[in-house]
Amino acid sequence: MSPTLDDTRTGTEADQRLLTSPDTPWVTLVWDDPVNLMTYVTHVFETYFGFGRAEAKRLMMRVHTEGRAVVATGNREEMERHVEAMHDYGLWATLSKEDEA
Amino acid sequence: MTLVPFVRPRGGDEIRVRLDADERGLLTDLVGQLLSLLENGDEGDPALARLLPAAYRDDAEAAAEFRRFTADDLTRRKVENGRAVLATLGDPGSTLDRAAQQSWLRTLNDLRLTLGERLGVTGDGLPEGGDRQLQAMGHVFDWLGYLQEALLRSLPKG
Repeated sequence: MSPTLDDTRTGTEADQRLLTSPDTPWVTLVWDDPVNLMTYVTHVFETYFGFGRAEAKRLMMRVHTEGRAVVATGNREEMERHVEAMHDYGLWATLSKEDEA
Repeated sequence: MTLVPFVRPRGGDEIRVRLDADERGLLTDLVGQLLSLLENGDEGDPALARLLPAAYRDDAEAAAEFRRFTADDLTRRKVENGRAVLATLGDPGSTLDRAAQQSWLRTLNDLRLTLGERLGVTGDGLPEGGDRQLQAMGHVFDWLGYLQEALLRSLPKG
């Protein structure tokens, strides 16, 4: 998000924000699909993202029950890398801006 | 049907494939079909669209650009995985090292995605009914899931 013109904060604060967070963060979403095995999705979350078994299972269950889950947050390039890796595994993944996800 | 298709000797990293000749033949045929789909498939084929899905849901332009930059690499890696599986299937005594295990997992998954698309698999599973050929494909789909599940269970830890 960009600072507004009537931002009353000092220049230093605004600059800081521009430097550290030039954009809304992006997210990688994994979507539920009828084919991928729950054990396989858990395996991918563990091996690719390095989540522990419990966290990988929790995210897999969120995909399964809610239809999708955010599995990573960061800049657009990072999220594109993650999405490509998910497609490599055969998972159905997309990226979007966090506030549009 | 082989009840224990993959065996990892205790303490080792490598996995033995114990499929019989018929199973090897069937899998070889299916992987061959997957490779020709990846290499010569029609871009509008829904199975191919599932193997290389859109990376952006609501931005066709960004999705097309992502595809332009990634589709060739993704396709090449999927083809390489399939070829690694074919190499193992052609040699009944061979074992799977960690790289081959990943090739097998991903190729089994790509086969299931393709077959699932052809069969119209939904959240409720395989559609009911259908002719004998569809039912036979349904059994193959289930068998591939059984293989993938068995391979996942035999993977070395860590």
